[in-house]
Amino acid sequence: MDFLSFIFLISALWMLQTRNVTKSVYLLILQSLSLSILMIGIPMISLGYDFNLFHSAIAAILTFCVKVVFLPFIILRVNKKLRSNDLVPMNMSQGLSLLIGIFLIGFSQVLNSSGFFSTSHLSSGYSFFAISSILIGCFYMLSHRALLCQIIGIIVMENGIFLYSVSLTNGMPLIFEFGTFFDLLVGVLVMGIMTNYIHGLFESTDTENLTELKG
Amino acid sequence: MIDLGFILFYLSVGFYILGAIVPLAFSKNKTLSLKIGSYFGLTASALGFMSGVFIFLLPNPILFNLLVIAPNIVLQFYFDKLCAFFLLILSAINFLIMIYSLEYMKSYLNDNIAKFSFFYNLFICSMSILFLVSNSITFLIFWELMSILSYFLVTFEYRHQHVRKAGFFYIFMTHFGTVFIISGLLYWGTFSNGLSFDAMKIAAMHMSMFSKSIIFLCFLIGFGTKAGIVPLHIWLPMAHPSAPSNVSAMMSSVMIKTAIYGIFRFVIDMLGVGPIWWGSVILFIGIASSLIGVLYALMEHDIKKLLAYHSVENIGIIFMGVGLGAIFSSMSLYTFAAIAYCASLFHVLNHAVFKSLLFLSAGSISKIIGTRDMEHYGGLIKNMPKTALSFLIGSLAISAIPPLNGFASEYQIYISMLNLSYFAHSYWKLFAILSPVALILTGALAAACFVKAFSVSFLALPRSSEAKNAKEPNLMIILPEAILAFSCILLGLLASNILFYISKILLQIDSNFNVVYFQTTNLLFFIIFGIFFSLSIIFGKIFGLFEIRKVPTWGCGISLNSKMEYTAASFSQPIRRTYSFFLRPHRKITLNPAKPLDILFSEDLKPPFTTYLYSPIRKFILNFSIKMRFLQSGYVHFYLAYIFITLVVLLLWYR
Repeated sequence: MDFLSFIFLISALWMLQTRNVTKSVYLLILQSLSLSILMIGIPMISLGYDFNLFHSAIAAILTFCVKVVFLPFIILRVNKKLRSNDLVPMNMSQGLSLLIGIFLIGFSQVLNSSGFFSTSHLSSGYSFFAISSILIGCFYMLSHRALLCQIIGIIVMENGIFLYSVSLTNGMPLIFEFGTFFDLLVGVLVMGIMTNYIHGLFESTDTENLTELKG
Repeated sequence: MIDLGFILFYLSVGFYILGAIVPLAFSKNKTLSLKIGSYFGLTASALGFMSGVFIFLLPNPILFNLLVIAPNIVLQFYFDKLCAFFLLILSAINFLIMIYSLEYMKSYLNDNIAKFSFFYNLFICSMSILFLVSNSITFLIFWELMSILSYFLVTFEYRHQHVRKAGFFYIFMTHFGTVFIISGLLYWGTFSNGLSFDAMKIAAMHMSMFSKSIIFLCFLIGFGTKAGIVPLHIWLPMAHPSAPSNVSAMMSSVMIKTAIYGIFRFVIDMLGVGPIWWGSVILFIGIASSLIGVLYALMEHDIKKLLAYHSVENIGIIFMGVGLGAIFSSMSLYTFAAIAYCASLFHVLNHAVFKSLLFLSAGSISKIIGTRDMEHYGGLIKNMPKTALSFLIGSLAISAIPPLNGFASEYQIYISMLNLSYFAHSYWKLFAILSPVALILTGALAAACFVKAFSVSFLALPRSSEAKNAKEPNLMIILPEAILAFSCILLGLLASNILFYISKILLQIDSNFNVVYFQTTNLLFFIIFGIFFSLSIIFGKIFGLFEIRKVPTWGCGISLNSKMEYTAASFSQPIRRTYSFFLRPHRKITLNPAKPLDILFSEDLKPPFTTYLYSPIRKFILNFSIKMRFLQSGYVHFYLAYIFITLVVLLLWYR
C-alpha cells in the first residue's frame, strides 16, 4: 500500500513539470489506477475480517471505469480534436512549479504532524498523501494555463479528496460515491463542451483569452 | 373528529398540488388549463376551510409528526386554534379569489396560464402548510417557498420593465427580512435542544432578557419587512400594482398576515412576556405605519398603489393592537392584553375581507377601463352599479365607519388604548393619550382617501371614452365581491361573537388571557341607523319626497363637461398642503409660449424614505463595489490563486 500511495503522490508531483497534455493525462491515469487499487487495499488491511469485498470492489470498479478509462479518454479525444500538440502555456517555469510542488508536500507533512490531523477522528495514515494531492491539484490548475489542464487539476484534487475519505471511512456508502462520480462526470462533460466552444471562439485554449469576456 | 380535520387538511394540500401540476399537462388548451387549475384550487380551499373548522374545534392542541426530512428536522404539524384561524382566513379568501380568477384571468389568455395556476396553487399550498408547521427549519423552508412563488406571481407580466423592477425589489426586500428571521431562529436555537417549537418554548423560559430582546428585534425587522411596516414598506406599493389583481388581493389580504402569524407564534406564544419597551416599540411602529401609509395613500392616483398603501396603514393598526397587548402583558394586566390581541386578530380577519374586496373590484375596474389611473375614471356608477356598491361597502369598512367590520376591530383597539392611558405612569401616560389620537386621525384620513377614491372613480361625468362605455362585468366577478361585501356587514354585526371565538385562541396560548365579555357597539349603531333609515323612508312616503325629478346640473348656462370636475389630485391638495412638512410636494408649471392656453401643472412628492434612507445605502454599495472591482482582474488563474491561498491560509490557521 505504501508503494501505491507513493505512486499516487509522485504522479501528481510529476504532472507539475510536464508541458504536454497527453503526458499529464497518462500521469493522471497512473494516479487514478493507484487510487482504485487503494480503494480495495485500504479497507482490506484496516478492517480485516469485517471487510466487505463486494462493496469496496463496486467502488473501485466505478473509480476505474470513470477515472482511468472514461475521463482520460474524453480529455484525450478533445485534445486530439483541438490538434494542440504544442506545449501548454504556463504561468511559471517548469522548475519553479516543481519546486513549489515539493514545498506543498512539505507543507502537508507539517500539517499532518501538527495537531489538526493527528486528532483521533481526522487522522489516517494516508492523510498526508491526500492533502498533498489536493494542494498539488489546485496548484496544477494555477500554473498551467490551458483549459484541459484545469480539468485535469480538478480530477487530481478529486482523487486526493477520495483517498482521504476512503482512508477515513474505509469505504463510503455507495450513494455518496455515486454522487461524487456524477458530479465529476457532469463537470468534465460541460468543461469539454465549453473547451470546444472557447477554441472555436479564440483559436486557442489559453485561459488568458478569457479576460476579454470581462464586463 | 380529530382524524377528519387532519385528513381534510392533507386532502386540501393534495388538491393544491394537483391544481399546480395538472394544468401543466393541458397547457396547450389555455381555457381548459385555467378551469382545471381554478376548480382544483376551489376544491382545495373548501377542504382547507372545513379542516380549519375542525382544527379550531379541537379542545387541546395536537402535535403530529409526519416524516423525518433530515436528522433533527421533522415535518411536524401543530394543530391549534391560532393556526386554524389563519388557515380559515386563507381558505375562505382563496375560495372567493378562485371564483374571481376563473373569469378575470381570461384577459391573460395570451400568456402562459398553466404557469399561473402552477405558481398560484403552490403559493397557497405553501402558505397553508406554513401556518401549521411546528419546526423552525420547516417553517423557514415554507416561508422561503412562499416568498419565491409569490415573486413569480408578481412578475407574471414580466414583459413590462417596471414589473421586473418591482419583482426584483420585492425579492430583495423579502430576503432582507428572511435573513433576520433566520438569524433570530438560529440564535434562539443555540439555547434550545433542537429546533422544534416545543424545545424552543422551553428554552425561552431560561433565557436572559438580553438575548430575548435580540431575538425579538430580529423577528420585528424580519416579519416587519414581510408585513410592510414603515420604513420597510416600499416594496408593497411597487409589487401590488405590478401583480394581477387576484394575486395582489391574495398578497395583501393573507400573505402579509403571515408575518402577523409569525409575531403571534414566535413572540407572543413562544418567547413569552418581555419588558415594557417591546410593546412600546411595536405600538410606535404601528402608529408610524398607519399614519404614513394613509398619508401616502391619499396622494396616490393609481388605484392599486392606493390600496397597497392602505395595506401599510392597516398593518399599522394591527401592530398597534399587538403592541398594546404586549405592553399590558408586561404590566401583568392579562385581560386587557387579551382584549388588545383579540382586536388585532379580528382586524387581521377584517382587513383580509375588505382589502380583498377592494382589490377585486379595483381589478375588475382597471381591467375594463384599461388603466389603473383614477384620473381616467368617473361616472362608473351609472354603468357598473353592482361593482360600485361593493366598492362602496369596502370603502366604508376600511374607513372604519360603523356599523361595518372595520369599525368593530378599530373600536376595540381604541378602547384598549384608553385603558392603557389609565394604567400607564409618568411620561408613558402622554404617549398613551396621544396614541388614540393617532388612530382617530388615521381613520379620518382613510375616510378622506376613500371619499376621494370612490367619488373620483364612480361619480360625476366620465373622464374618458372607456369610462363612458364601461359595462358591468359578468356574474363570476360580481359574486365574490358581493359575498365579501356581505361578509363585511355580517362581521360587523356579529363582532362580539367573533371576538369571543378569537379570545379562545388566546386562552389556548396562555390561560391568563381570559376575557369574559366584549363590549361592542356595532349592533347598537346598526339598530340606530336602521331606525333612522326606516323613519326617513316613512316620512318620505308621508310627505311625498319620493317624487324624483331628473334634470341636468345647472351650470349658469355653460354646458358642463368632465374637464371642470374635481380631479383626484385637486381633491387631495389641501391635505398635501397641510402635511407639506412631511410630504415635500414641489410644483412644476410648464408654459408653452406658442400656445398661451397650454399650461401644464404638476405636483410631485419627494418620498423621504427612498431619498434619505434607501438611496444613500444604494449609492454606498455601488461605490464600494466599484472600488472593489480591482479584485476582479478577469484572469482565471487569479481567481484560482485566491482560492488556493485561502485554502493554504485556512489550513495553517486551523493546524
